[in-house]
Amino acid sequence: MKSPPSLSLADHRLLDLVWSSEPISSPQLCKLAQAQLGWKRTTTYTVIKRLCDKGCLKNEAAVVTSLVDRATVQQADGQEVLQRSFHGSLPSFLAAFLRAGSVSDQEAAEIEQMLEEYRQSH
Amino acid sequence: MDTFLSTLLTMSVTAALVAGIVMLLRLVLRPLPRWITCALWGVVFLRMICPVGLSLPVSLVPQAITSGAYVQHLLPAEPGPAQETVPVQDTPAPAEHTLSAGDGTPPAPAAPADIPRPALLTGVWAAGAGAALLWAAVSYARLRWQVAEAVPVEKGVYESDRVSTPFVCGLLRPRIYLPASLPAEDRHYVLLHERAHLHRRDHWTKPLAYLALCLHWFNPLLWLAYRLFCRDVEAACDQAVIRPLGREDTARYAATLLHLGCRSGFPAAVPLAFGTEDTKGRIRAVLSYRRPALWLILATAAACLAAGLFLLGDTNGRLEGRPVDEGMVFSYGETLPLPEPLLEELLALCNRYDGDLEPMSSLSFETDTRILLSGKKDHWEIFRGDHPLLVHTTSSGGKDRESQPYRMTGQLEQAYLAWEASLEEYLWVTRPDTLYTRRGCSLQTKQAAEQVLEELNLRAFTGPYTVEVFQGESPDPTILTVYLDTPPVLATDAARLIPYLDLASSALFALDDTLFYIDWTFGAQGSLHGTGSYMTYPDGLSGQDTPPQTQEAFRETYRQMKQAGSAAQITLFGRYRDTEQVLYCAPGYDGPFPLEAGRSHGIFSELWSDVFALTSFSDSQGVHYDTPYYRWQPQAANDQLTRYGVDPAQHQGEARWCIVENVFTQDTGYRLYEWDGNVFLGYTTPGQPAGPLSFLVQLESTPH
Repeated sequence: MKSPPSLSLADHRLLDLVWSSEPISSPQLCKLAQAQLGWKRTTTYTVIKRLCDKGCLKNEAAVVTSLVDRATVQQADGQEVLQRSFHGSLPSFLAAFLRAGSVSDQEAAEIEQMLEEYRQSH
Repeated sequence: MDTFLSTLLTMSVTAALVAGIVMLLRLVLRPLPRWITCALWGVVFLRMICPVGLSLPVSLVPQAITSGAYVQHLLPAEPGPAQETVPVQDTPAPAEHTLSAGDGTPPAPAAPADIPRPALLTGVWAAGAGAALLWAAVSYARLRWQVAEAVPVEKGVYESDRVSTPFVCGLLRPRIYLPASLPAEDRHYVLLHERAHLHRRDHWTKPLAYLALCLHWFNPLLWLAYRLFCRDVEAACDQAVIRPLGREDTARYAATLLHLGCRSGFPAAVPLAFGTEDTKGRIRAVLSYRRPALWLILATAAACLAAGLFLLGDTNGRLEGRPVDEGMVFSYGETLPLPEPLLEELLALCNRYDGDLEPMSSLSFETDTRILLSGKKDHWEIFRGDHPLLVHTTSSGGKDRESQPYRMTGQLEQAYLAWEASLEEYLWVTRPDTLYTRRGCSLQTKQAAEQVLEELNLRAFTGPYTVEVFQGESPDPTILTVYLDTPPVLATDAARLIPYLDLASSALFALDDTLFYIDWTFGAQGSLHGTGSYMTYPDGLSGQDTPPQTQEAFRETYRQMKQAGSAAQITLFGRYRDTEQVLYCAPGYDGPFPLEAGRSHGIFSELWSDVFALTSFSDSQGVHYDTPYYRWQPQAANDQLTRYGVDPAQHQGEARWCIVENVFTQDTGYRLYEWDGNVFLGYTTPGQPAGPLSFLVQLESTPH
C-alpha cells in the first residue's frame, strides 16, 4: 500500500480510539472523543474527515472503521522519525539511544533476539 | 467641553505619570520579590479605570495633573450653535450685525456646519479602542482554533502539535497547553511555571490589564507599562517556581528556559504564553536569585503599600488640604453655583501658588464677596479690592469663627485674575450662548416657558411667579403671562423694575419670534381686587428697541438685564407677602389717566380707578360726585408707617393720616398718610380706623 501521509498527534489519538472500539458509529465516536480527549463534536468530525481524506479511516453510513492497522502506522511513524532526524540511518537512530545509555539490559537482550530472528529469515 | 473626553484624557495622563513613577521604582525594587512590583502595577491599572482617586489631603500625584485643567488646551472647544447661519428674515442680513459699528473689522467667522470636534474625537477613540479589542479577539480565536484538537495529558494539561510554546488559556476553566514534542524534564518545569501563573490568577489579570489598555490605546507610555508588567509577571512566576528549589533544580529550570527560548514567540497580547521574550534576562535572573531577608521584604511591601495608596490619591476638591464642597459666585445680585471645572481650576491655582498668600492683620475695608467656597468646617471668601483677597474662616465648635484674611500677590494674583476672566466668560458668554441655542425652540408650552425663565434667573430679581401660556389662532401667536406673586409695593420699586422687565422681555422676544406680547401681572391668578399688569411688545410699543436677533446682541441684552436686575430687587414692605391686592403705582402719575392711542397701559391705573370709583358715583339724578373726602386725623401715624416699613430716618416731623370716605361709604377702607410731603396709601378693613393694613404704597401725587 502506498506510504501513509504523516499524521498529527490528534490523528494518532483518534485512530487509537477507533482501533480500540471499531466499528463505531460516528456520534458515539464523538461522545468517546469528548470523554477521553475533551474534544468538541465539530473537532472530532474535522479529524474524522481529515483521516478519511488521508485514507486511514472509512466513514460510511455514519459508521467509522479503520483502513490501516496500528502496525502500519507505527512503521510509518518510525520511518518519519528516521528520515527527519537521522537521515534515514537506522544505526544512527539506535546509536542515539545507546550513547545516552538509555537501553536497559532486558531491552538489549530483546533487540539481540529480534536481530537474530531477522538474520535467520533473510 | 466634552466631559467624557476630558475625563478620559485626565485619567490617561494621570495613569501615565503613575506608570512612570512605578517604572522608576521598579529599577530600585529589582533585587526584591517581583510580586511587589506587580502589585504596584495594580495601582496603575486602578488609575486607568477609575476617573477619581481616593480623596486624600496629600498625594504623590500633583493636583496639576489630577485636576485635568490642562485638558481644555488639548481638546478643541465646542463651536457656537449652528444658528449663526442667516435666519429667514426680510431685514438685512443679520450676519452684518456682528460687524462692530462701521469700522470695517471683519466679522467673526460663523461656526462651521460640520460635525462638532469632540464627537469626532470620541469616534476616533472608539475606533482605536475597538481595533485593539478586535486584535485581541482575533488572536484569541486563532488560539482556540489551534488548540481545538489538543489531547489531554493530565488534568488541566493538554498537548498539541500545532502549538510551539506552552501557555495558559481560558478564564473560568483554564487549561495549560504544551507543545507535543516537549522533553519530559522540560515539561515538568514548564508545568511548574504555568501552574504558578494559575495560582497567581494571572489568567485574569493580564486580560484585564489589556482591556484597560484598550481604553488608553492612544497613550504610548501605557503600552510600555503593559509590556513591563507582562515581563514582571513572568519574572514573578519564575521566582515562585525556584523559591523552593535547590541549586541543581534551579539550573535545570534555567536549562528549560533556554530550550524554550529558542522557539518562535507569540504576540504579547495573547494570554500567558510561556514568554520567549527576554530569555537571556530571565535565565540570568533565575540563576542569580537570592532570597532577600524577610524583614526587608516586609519593609518594602509596607513602603510600597503606602506609596501605592498615595499614588491613588487625589487632592482635588481641596484647598490647603481641607475639603471644599461647593463654590458660589455672586454676580449682579444673583447667587450662582460655580461649575465644576472652574471650581477645580480655582482650587488648583490656589494650591499651586499658596506661597503668594500674604496674611493680613485685619481687613481694612468691606466689600461684597465675589466667590464663596464652602467646606464642612471652613469657608473661604474671595473679594476684589486693590488686590484680590482671600478670607479663610474656620468654625470651631459651632458658632465661634476665626477669620484669617490674606492678600493674593504675585503669581497667585495673576493666576486668579486670569481665572476670573474665564469666570466672566462663563457668566457672560457661555451662559447666554447656551440660552440662545434654544432660540426657535419656542416658549409655546408652559414647561418650556418656565424653563427659559428659570435659566434667565428671573426669580432672583422678581421673587416667585407663575407662568401661563396662551396660544392664539394661526399663525399661532403666543401670549406669555407671568404672574409675579410678590408685588413691588413702593413706587420707587416700580422705577427699578420696569427697565428690568423691559430688558427681560427683550431677551424673551429674541428667543421666540412667535411671542405676541408678554403680560407681566402683579398678583396671583384669580385675585379679585384689581391686579396690575405691565405689557411688553416686541415691536417697541413699550418703548424698547428692536429686540436683538444675533447671538452677540442677545448676550449684551442678557448682561444689561442682569445689571438692571440687581437694582430691581424688590423689597417688600415686611408684612405684605400674602397680600391679595396688588397695587402698583408708577411715578409721575397723579391720577387716572386716559389710555393714549398706540400706547400700552403700562402703568397701573387700577389703583386710582379703584379709589376713584369708590369715591365717586352718580346718583339717580345724574349728579356726579367724584371728590373723595378726607379728614385728617389728629394722631400722628409715624409708628404705623414705621411698622409697615417706611424708614423714619428719611422723614421728618409728624405724619398725619386720614380715612378716605365717600358719600355713601364713610369708610372705604383706604387710608392716606402724609409724612413730610410724601403720600402713602394703605388699605384696611373698612370700619376699623386703625386696623392692620393689607398694603401700603407710596404715591407720587398729592391728594386733591
